[in-house]
Amino acid sequence: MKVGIVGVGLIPWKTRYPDKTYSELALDVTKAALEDARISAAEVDNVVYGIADLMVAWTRQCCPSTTIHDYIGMQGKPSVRVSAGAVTGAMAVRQGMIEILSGMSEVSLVVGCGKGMDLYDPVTKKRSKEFLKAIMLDLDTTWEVPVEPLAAANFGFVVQSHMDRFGTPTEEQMAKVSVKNHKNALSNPLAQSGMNITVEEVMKSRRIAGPVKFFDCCLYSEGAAALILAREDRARQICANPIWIEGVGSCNHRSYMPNYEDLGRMVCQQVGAQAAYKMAGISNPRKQLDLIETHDLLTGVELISYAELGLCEPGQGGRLMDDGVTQKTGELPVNPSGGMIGCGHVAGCSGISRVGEIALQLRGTAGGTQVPINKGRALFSAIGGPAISQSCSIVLGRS
Amino acid sequence: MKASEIFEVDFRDVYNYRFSYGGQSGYFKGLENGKLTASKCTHCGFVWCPPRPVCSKCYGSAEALELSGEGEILTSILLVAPPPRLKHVKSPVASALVKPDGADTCIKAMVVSKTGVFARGTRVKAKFMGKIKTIADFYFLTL
Repeated sequence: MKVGIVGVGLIPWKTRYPDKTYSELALDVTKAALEDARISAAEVDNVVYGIADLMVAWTRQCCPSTTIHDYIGMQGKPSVRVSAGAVTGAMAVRQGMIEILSGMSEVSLVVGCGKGMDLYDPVTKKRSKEFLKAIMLDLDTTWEVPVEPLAAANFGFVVQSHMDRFGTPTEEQMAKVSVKNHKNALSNPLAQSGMNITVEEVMKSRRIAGPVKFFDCCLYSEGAAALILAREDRARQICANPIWIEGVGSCNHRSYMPNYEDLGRMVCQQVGAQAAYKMAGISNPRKQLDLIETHDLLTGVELISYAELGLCEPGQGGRLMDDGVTQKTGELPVNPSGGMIGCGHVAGCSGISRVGEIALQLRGTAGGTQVPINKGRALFSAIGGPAISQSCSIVLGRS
Repeated sequence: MKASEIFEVDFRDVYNYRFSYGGQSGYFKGLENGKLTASKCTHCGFVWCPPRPVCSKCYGSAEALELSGEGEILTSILLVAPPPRLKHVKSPVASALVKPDGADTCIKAMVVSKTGVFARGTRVKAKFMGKIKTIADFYFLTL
């Protein structure tokens, strides 16, 4: 039995949606996904919500999915909320797939949303300071938060230790990722931060901590995304071109405290990607995939991912960037959508959005972000959590 | 919707906590007494710092172990500005992963270096600050 994606609901991601509540954002994307699939809400059997626990701090609401469930007209159907930091969206897709493979449902709605910029510091009259304080709750509040200035520094540790171990990436190679992803986002009407920026401008941007500078970091956004998943027979009834979930692999690997020999690596992503490749029958991702969307929490993290996803040896990610392999016009485009650096990031639903983006790519309807589809397969890989400890990779195909 | 039509309000929500560090309380009591402590599994011998009363690798019970307080930097990130607790040190501060001597784990901590060097392998010694609330209330000083 296979599971197909038959509906995609995406909206622009913005710094803030002052005119929408999170329930309204969820309704917008649910409606869009149902319209894309040309089915009614009544045909949905269950709902999986990708809403990170951070929403508790952001919106003062512990069970946001229960209020959303009512608002989007899904009363009477089972639902579950998935929360796994930045990996939440990908895990929600995985859960939607499980609902169908278990035989419990034929059609799953997977919907995620996030609003963080309701946070506000009345003294400075700015939202970002309060937001950055709240997002630290995603890290280990006993053993990390007291000695770390920002969440970006937490991920920066992985980059710095990779540099210590392998001598790369250089800060200039990291800057090239920023240039690439910001430029790619210019072609994406849903992206928050498309821009033409130079390596020099990235290098001169404000230093955050260690090798991490302002333009090395992904932005944080408000937004939502939804997908309709269906059992193989239903998927073929619903649409002529379902995009199939061919492989899924996930891993939670607490890397740095008892396993410091893994420093500089993102073992969770390597293990998760290998499991997804095995399930999909992929042995050489560089030759068998048309594109990759991966979580570029930081530029350096994207470069380390190249090795964890099997595109090169550890320490060679920067070289791949130098050689132009991962450019939109390169041998294997990575983050042609603009990634998180260009599009923005919502912990609950970045994964849902990126999987939706890939579905559009494989359909050939991605518009300005479209890359050539010759092999008919693509990968999405999400990473996140304290010290980049969690991952979920999903191989999608159109045949 | 026009900006003028949006109804916004200011709202403040504060929660106060009194929480325990549970079975790892001994680590914090040790820091208050100027000691870096660990636990050694009586079954597999793995040394956890911070201590864990039950070994997460084999589930064996563990016994307390006092470490020397010295160790070495595994990796570090230089901070643009020192954290409030270390404003007084007037030297470069990094957030670092430090492997304490005698431990099979590493810990995350602040490191102060008068020379500004935080390279991998740099030797450090714990500096205790008295009253302990969090792990930010002690730091390592490079040797």
